[in-house]
Amino acid sequence: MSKNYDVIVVGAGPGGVACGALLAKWGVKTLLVDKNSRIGGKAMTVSKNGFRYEYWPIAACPATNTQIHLLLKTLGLDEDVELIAPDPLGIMHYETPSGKIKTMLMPGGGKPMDPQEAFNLLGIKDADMPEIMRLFTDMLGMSRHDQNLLDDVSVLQFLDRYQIPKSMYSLLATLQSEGTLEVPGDIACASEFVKVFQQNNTYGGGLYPAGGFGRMYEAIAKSAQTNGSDIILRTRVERISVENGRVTGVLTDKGVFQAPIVVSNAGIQPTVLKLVGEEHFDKSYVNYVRDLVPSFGFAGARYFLSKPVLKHPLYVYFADDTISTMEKHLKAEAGQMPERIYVFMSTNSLYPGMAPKGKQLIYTGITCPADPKTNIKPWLDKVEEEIARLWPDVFKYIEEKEYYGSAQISRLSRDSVVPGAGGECIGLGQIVGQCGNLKPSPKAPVGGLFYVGADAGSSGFGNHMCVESGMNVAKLVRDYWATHRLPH
Amino acid sequence: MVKNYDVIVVGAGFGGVVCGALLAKQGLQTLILDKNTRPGGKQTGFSINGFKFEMWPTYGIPIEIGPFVDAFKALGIESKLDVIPKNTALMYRRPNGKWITTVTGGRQETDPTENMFNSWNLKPKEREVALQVLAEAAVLTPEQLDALDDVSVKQWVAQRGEIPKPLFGFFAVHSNLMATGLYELVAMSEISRIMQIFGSSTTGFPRGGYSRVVDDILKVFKANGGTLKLNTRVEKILVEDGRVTGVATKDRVYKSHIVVSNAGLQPTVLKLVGEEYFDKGYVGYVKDIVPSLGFCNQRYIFSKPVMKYGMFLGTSEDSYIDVDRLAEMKKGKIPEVLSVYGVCPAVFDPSMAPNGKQMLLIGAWCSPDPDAKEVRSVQKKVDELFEEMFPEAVSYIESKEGYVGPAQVSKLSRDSVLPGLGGEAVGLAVTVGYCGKHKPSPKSPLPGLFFVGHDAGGGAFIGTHQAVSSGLRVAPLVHHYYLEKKAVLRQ
Repeated sequence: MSKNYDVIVVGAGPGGVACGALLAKWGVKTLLVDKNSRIGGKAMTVSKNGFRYEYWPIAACPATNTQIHLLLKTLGLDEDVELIAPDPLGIMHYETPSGKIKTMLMPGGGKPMDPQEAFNLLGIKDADMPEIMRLFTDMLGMSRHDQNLLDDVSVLQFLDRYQIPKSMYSLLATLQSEGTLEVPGDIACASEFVKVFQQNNTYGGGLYPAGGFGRMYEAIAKSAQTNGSDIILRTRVERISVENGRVTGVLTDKGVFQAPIVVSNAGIQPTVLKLVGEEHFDKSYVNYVRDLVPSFGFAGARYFLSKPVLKHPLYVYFADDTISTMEKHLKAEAGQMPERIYVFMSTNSLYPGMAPKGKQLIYTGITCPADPKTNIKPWLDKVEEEIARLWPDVFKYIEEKEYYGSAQISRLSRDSVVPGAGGECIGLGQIVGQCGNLKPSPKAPVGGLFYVGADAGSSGFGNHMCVESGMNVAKLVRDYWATHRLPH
Repeated sequence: MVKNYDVIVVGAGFGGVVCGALLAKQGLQTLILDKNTRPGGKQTGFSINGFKFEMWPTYGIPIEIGPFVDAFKALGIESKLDVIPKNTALMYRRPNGKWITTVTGGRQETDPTENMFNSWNLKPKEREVALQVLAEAAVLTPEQLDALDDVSVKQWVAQRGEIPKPLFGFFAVHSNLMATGLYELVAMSEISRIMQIFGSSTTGFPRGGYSRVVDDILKVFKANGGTLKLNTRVEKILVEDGRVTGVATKDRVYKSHIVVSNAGLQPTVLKLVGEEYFDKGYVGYVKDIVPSLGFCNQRYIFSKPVMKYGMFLGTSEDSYIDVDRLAEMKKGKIPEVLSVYGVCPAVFDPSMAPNGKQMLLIGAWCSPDPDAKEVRSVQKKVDELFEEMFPEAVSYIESKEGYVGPAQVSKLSRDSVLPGLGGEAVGLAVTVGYCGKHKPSPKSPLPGLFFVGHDAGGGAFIGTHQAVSSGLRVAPLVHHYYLEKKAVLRQ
């Protein structure tokens, strides 16, 4: 195996494999290195006792007409990987202030939600409809330029510009904001919120690849190999080497690999502060990187059930007082959990081959601090208390339980290099002041170093954002390679 | 025990108090420190012998729109903003020495150009040209304004070809008056934005003076648990591990992970924090920012209420300061006519002076150098011009006092940390490359350090206005930063 490459991609998460596969297709000699034994990063699919599953709930939004579709088509994999947009997507539960739980079917398959049904669920009065319609029209019709004006506005600040009833406010702040951006509404970025709202309401949500997300990323990685790339798993990159202000390769526990270009899918903070090292950057850039705010972490449970309990992929619950804020999160950390929290249950066992016949795997969870050292027990207890209250049946059929939290997320993905970071469930993406035009540049100030993944290169929602970053960064890298390549 | 604050604001100028009050209202433990005995920075109010006044003529709060209205709204004291529009005068000296006065009520007239063109004595053909050029300057889309951030007033005027001399004088003079900069350096976008604001709102003077505005804001600050310490000079902003940790005064340390400096960009970076905490490129950038002009002021006390105008501007087609003239002025050679600016607070609000008397704050522009030598000669020239403009008032001048120039301004506000700087009348960033989209970022490259005030974060328009606008914009930035750091660092 040759040890000289054009490009080395550090990390085989969704962004890394998408980027690597495109570069390989374009004839760039690429090496993909990952510390894990499987492809897919946080979205890897594993097998156990006849179940196939991701470690936590993963679904992409938008569901139709996406960059994921485009990538598979570009790589010639659209026949191999089937993308499913489930219809209906699931059930929404809303608890009225008097304690009555009302439900509504959430459409899928790329179909938008019927606003009238949502109004009925939320008990919206006629007099409130014009203002809600004004908000929806503003959001759905908002241009990219106007979205960018919201890059440093929080979701709650944005919603506060409209006089809408509490129930609708909570639907947006709880489900559409915290449920997708995974940070409280007072630090979540309004431009991302509007973008995801547009995608969700134009192209639907809940996209899932047949066989699991990991299988799709494995297929993408396979195409990279077919196009001449090398892939090395179980190999930890310890250092990205720099000489004369320019990247020269990587140092791993399996030896040295050389390349004039390194694309890091290891997270911008671990890359700058640990893999490359502060000494190779200006103070202000180090300050900037260290000061980026990670998303929250995620704590939850996987229940392996002896009987299918869920009919649809997704069940969500919210009430008027489930809006989360930083203040609530800090109280929770101090030991004071809020009375009501937003809860969901989801499953991929409805897709063929994902569960043994007659059995089901259910996920649930809640946002928690991203610090891998967090004791997540209070969050898990609260979630289970709410599941027991809302969906007591689940507990009758549990054969096995597994818990997960920020420590597991960090172990699978990025190292913790700044206090409170490492176990973020999405990346750095959705925080006010670091999205849209303010998002970190995928091109680092060190020659030949790029970032790919949730942290840089695109915007939007989870897996879709990472794949889009992979595609955008691949183009940047190709141009850099074409203009900077050394004569061989 | 050392108390930890969520935010420390260094300097109680308008930017500092607006920002501090908004943060306190959001529930942050906020401390404002100021070296002076009174808050308000350059607009500090004084009260002597029954007169209430600022250190120099200050005027121009838009009544219907703008940051003052927005700030008072955000602080929940909208009804307290009491701005009085009264007679103001634009006085124009024709080349033959005759002064023509146009009186306005602070209110924008339907056709302000008519009177202006009359005083300029323009011929019909010249009027056509002038009208077209003024329209070109004032009616601009945001994109066109953005593009003008990179064009100086001089360049813009030159592109208009042959224009009547008084119109040329108008643009040159207003670079000094409105943007407080030199004709060759001020960005045309600033002038256009100022023309737009003056064109769309009535302006006036606050009842009780600017100190009353500061007091109203500080009441909200204190009611929300904010702490204000006056007579307390911050000597150092403390940094540990590349992150702000608090401030040190002569005898103690105040701790906070966020410091918002209203002490000026240059003194903050070069003196309070220290160059060693920044990249070379940033230090170079900060050192290179061009200051505004300075202002020399004096107070006339009248034994009778002779002044009819609350505010007046005296200009001519030739009363502007450009690079060459400023250099000449420094050598003691004062132009025949200077632009003169005066505010008589008691015309707006009679409670600003004892019964039967008046005080006029009057002065002209000069260099921002605290060691400026031209101050006395400029003041002498102002005296001469006043006699020409208001001959009937001269005999009622009881006394002249309160001579201030860049040295006193610097003492009251920002320290001089670079040669020739410190006494700027409004702050930095009025010139091409430093305003509009090029305005210095209010978020410094040092985590936890923000700038507020005229230097950073605000929008266009005259001095105090920019400071308030900066306070309004910087407060939410700081609040988010605070929430985020709480999330990550559990600070």
